[in-house]
Amino acid sequence: MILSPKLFIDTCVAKPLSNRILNYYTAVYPSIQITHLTDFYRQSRCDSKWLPNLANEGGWIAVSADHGRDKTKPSLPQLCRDYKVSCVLMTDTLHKKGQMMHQEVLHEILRNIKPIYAAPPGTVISIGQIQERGGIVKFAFRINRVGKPQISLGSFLQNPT
Amino acid sequence: MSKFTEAFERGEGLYSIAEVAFYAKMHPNTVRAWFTNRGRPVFRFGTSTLDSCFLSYTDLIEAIYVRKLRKEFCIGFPVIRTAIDMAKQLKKVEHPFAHPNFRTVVVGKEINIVEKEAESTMIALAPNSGPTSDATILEQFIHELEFDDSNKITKYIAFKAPRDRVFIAPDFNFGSPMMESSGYTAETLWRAHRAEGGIQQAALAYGVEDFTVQAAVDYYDGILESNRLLRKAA
Repeated sequence: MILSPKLFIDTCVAKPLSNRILNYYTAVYPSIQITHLTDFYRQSRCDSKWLPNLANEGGWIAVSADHGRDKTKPSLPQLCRDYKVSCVLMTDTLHKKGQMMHQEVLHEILRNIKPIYAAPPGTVISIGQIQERGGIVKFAFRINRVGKPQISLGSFLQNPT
Repeated sequence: MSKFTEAFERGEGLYSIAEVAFYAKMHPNTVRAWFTNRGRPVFRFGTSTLDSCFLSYTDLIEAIYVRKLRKEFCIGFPVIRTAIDMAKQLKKVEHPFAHPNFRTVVVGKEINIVEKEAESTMIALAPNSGPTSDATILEQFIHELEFDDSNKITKYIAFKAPRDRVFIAPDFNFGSPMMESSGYTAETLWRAHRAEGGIQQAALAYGVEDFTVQAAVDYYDGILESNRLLRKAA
């Protein structure tokens, strides 16, 4: 069991929601840490300061929906790879569904925090919803690898190459 | 450390051509022609150290101001280029339109600058023999910008609402326009107002004031409308 998950939440998720999640999970994980990007803004800490700091501290998982406005431009996922900070990106479809869905996504991430931590630091994981037979909808974690097709997090952990 | 990470840590800002076009309310082909144009740019080469297909924060700010000079005063590129070269020679400044010690003054199609310490003396950067008119001092050029101690631009105020502002800083939120009061990007709050079903609902969900969401929506809708009109015109 991961006793102290550390989540860094991007501005795509509301700060009050991250506070609610923190309160909810403190009973399960007493030393859980959830930080929101607007906390750094209030401390006037710019991007080039907080991201290397998170990387140096280690153990942080960034949660974002920032795939970049322009797909050709390197953005947060690329920086996470470079700084070896694992990152969970929600798909645009999930992001557009509003904060109730964001809450579901955060719960799903914390439910699966162990396999997420099992992936090597700097792994970019995408979380989306898939529809199975009978119209059953469930979340799926997939790994985005540069120049390779997406695979599920489970397959990746079994065979990381 | 990758070239991208180095550029990121220098805080020079990284924008694609599409992004500069979006934020400066220009057509992407126009931005491409100004800064790259297959090795012969109409304005000048982009200053990003990462790759020639990306632009820096300085390029974004200059694109916004040069667009204003061209659109509002119908000043051509030869005059703008002459003004920049002359400012480099006379005052050793790279970006005369965006320097805290200078005010840009447009007389007809002539570009002049006035020094902050000698406001009565106007220096002609690009004289023009065309018809003259009243001088227009472009105070907004300077009031929209904030500088650090080394006269480097740290913040561009992209939109002013009565109780909040949208600004673009190269090293906050990866250079996206953001709300001054809260730190959320304008796009996030604009998306939230659509997803949550209104201004008040979005403000409640994100823990911000209604006027912050309203400013974000006004700013973002303005950009989207301009871009829609540009696409229609093209």
